[in-house]
Amino acid sequence: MATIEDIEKALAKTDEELYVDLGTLPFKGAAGADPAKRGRELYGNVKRKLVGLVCEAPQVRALHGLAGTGEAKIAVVIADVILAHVAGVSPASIAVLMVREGLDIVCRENWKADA
Amino acid sequence: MSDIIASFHAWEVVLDNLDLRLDGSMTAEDQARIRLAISGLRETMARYPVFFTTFDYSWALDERSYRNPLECRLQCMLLSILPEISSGHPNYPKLGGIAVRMVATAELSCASMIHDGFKYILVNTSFLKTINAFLIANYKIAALGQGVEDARNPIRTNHFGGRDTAAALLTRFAECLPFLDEFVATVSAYCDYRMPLRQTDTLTALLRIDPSDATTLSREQLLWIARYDAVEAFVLCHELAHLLEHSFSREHRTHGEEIEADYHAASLYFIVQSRVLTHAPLAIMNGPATFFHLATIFTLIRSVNGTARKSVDQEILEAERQSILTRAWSYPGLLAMYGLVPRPETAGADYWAIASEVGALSAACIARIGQAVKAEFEYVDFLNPRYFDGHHPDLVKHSLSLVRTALHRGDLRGARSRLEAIRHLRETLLTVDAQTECGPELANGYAAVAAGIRDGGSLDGADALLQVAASILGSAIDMSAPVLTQFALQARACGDLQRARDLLRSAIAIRRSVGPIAQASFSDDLMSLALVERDAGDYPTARALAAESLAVEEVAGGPDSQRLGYKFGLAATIESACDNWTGAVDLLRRAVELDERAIVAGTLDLGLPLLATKYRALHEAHLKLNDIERARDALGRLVDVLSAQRAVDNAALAAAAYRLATLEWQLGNRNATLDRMHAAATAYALVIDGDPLELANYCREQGTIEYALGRIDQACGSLRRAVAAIEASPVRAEEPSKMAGSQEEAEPGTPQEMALSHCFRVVKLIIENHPEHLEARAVLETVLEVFAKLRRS
Repeated sequence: MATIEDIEKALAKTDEELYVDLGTLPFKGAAGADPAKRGRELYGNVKRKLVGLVCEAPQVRALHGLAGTGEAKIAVVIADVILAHVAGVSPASIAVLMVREGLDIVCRENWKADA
Repeated sequence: MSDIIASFHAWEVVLDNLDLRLDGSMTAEDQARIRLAISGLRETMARYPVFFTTFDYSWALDERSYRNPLECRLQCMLLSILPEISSGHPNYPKLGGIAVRMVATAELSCASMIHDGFKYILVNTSFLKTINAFLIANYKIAALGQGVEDARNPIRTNHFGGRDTAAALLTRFAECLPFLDEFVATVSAYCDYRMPLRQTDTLTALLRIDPSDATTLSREQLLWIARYDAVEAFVLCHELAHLLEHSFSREHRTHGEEIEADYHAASLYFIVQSRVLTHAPLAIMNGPATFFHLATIFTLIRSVNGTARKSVDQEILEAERQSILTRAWSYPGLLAMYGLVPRPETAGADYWAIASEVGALSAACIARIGQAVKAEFEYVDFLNPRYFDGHHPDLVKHSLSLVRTALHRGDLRGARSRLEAIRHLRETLLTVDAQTECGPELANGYAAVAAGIRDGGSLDGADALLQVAASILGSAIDMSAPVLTQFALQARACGDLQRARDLLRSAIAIRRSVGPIAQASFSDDLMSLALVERDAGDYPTARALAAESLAVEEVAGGPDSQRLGYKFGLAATIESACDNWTGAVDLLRRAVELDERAIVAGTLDLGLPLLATKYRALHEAHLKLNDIERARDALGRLVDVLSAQRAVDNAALAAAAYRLATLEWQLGNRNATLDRMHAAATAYALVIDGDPLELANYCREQGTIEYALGRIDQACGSLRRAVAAIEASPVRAEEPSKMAGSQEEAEPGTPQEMALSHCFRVVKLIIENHPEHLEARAVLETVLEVFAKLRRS
């Protein structure tokens, strides 16, 4: 489970730093990689596959648009939703990147019917 | 679904880029291929019942464990390798629970990991697609060169179309370019984590292979397909070796680990490929040869790729490139170590034949990419001769000229890496005659790099390189004067004068025997031996050798050469050692005369530091002769020379100016003393990270002289600067003292306190003689405040 401290640490980082965190995977390859670019690819992979899960999660929908809900709070909820579905990367980093991108944009397709 | 497959699912979410998947959904044809591979696996399991009873791989027989036929084929390939490992092997217990997973990512490498107690080898789709793109480009270009003869073609064999490829590149390069560029663009896109343009052809289609009937392939079809399989198999064995042998606690693999993985992979790879490729034994060499070529291309493209280079550390890439090249060169040796081939030369002949064939295209890619960055990376220089033109007899000469160029530039690292290339080349390619021919110059190159490394302060590093030189020469070392000389200089640096003397005598004897002896190197050896004799205290012999060295040098380089000036300086050290200061002065004057002439002619170039050394020695020799005026003159010139250097050594300049000031004082030149003292303090103030206490001493001395000349205001200013520097200096742990000159008993103090007490004395003198001087009183107060502060701290 992602803690508020994890989220705050991630929020304190730039997007580029978060991508580097994501791209620094705990396994070793035959050639060196570019962690920032790899991180960008991995974020894209996770977002594409888990966007439905995140956007349809009742707790995410409940918080979204609620006045006074800060970035940290909604990122904690997103991190909890994706936690069990990813390995090797920080759910907090992914959640913060999604929040920064904007849930309205990330979930546009999923929430289209509600609009 | 089995645990090992289910456990990887969370990784798939993260790693799999849907755009790069090999296929969207499983077709009936795919399922048929998987079933075929699994039936083969059943046969393998039946052949190795003990292994498959010990380790449960029943999940590998489940079709649902695979997402595509290739993943299944790779898993089956792995399971045909594992039972080959002896049950007595220390890593045998680790052989269970290993899965191969295809990962759809742009990452151009394969990897391995441990998760939930399971071990995974990750084979990336981009890597496989790149092998495919390379082979397609190669196939198309080779087709253009079929039947084309060209006298320039350096590739001797045509097992895999290598000679045809080189012929096409030499004669129809413009037509080759689209194929070459398509491959380069594919790698470049992956390096930048972009989708490459879709490859319009497949190797299977080009070879007109009927996928439904893979049993009736022609020899040509088999050879091309085998190249692809060979790279996959090599990578699989390599990653398996990492999984079994190495810790996964560190983020990056070391070069040593990569070599070890190649070493452990070599035998497994050889066994599995020998079984599969009985019809084409040379294909066995194809896996590693193609892999290493591809890896160097990946590294090059990553380093020049427009967007990638901003974020990728070029030094890391250069280290990777060196690592890959060393692995490529080491491979035949690894095969020999396992006894898989009788000697490295045997493996080398086949391995380098294949590597040269593959290298025809590789070098063309590198040349194509490298055109824009040739100056920066010198890839074309380095790799083209290595692979593309590997058999050419002039290669060693060409490479040795590159070594000499690097040495001339002072680029020891570059010289060394080129020497390594030549050494491996010599071991694997050349004939015995050619080996004998290039040996001495190669050994000389190592000895020259050893000298540079020793001058840089690494005795051990120099020794290691000299051992390489000795191993190259073998018993012929007794005939190599340059290498013996370097061994002698190494012995002298280690303090073994007797060995140094013996070796130099041998070197000199060789040079005398071969003649002509009017050579600079002969003069060098004579002077080196003279210096050894000097150190040993045999001055008559030292003098005689030095005189002979100077005579030889004068003939070899002419009477005006700077080398002669340098040797006059060395000969002077022998005269100094035996207290013949007149002789030393004579030699040093001749030495500096030659350098001064070179300054006027504008040819001294980088010789200023040596000239400074000579003036320093001349000043000391004049002092020994009590000739203060000439000592002052020499020191004055030293200060000029130090000031004229491009990177001024301000600490040395300050010290020289200070000594000059003291001589001017002795000669009664008060104003000149003050000017020099001022110059010393000014120079030291410019020293980066200088010692504030040292600066304080210069300022205090300047203040003292100013006081003596009656320049009270200036003296107070200098003393104030001295006190400020003392206050800024770090506190040094020594016994505290009472202020010198105070009413209390004086005790030994810290350096700060000592310096402060000197300032105190001078200020006190000023106040005694000029009680009305308010600034002097203010300085005194500051001195006392700083002293109190020092005592408190």
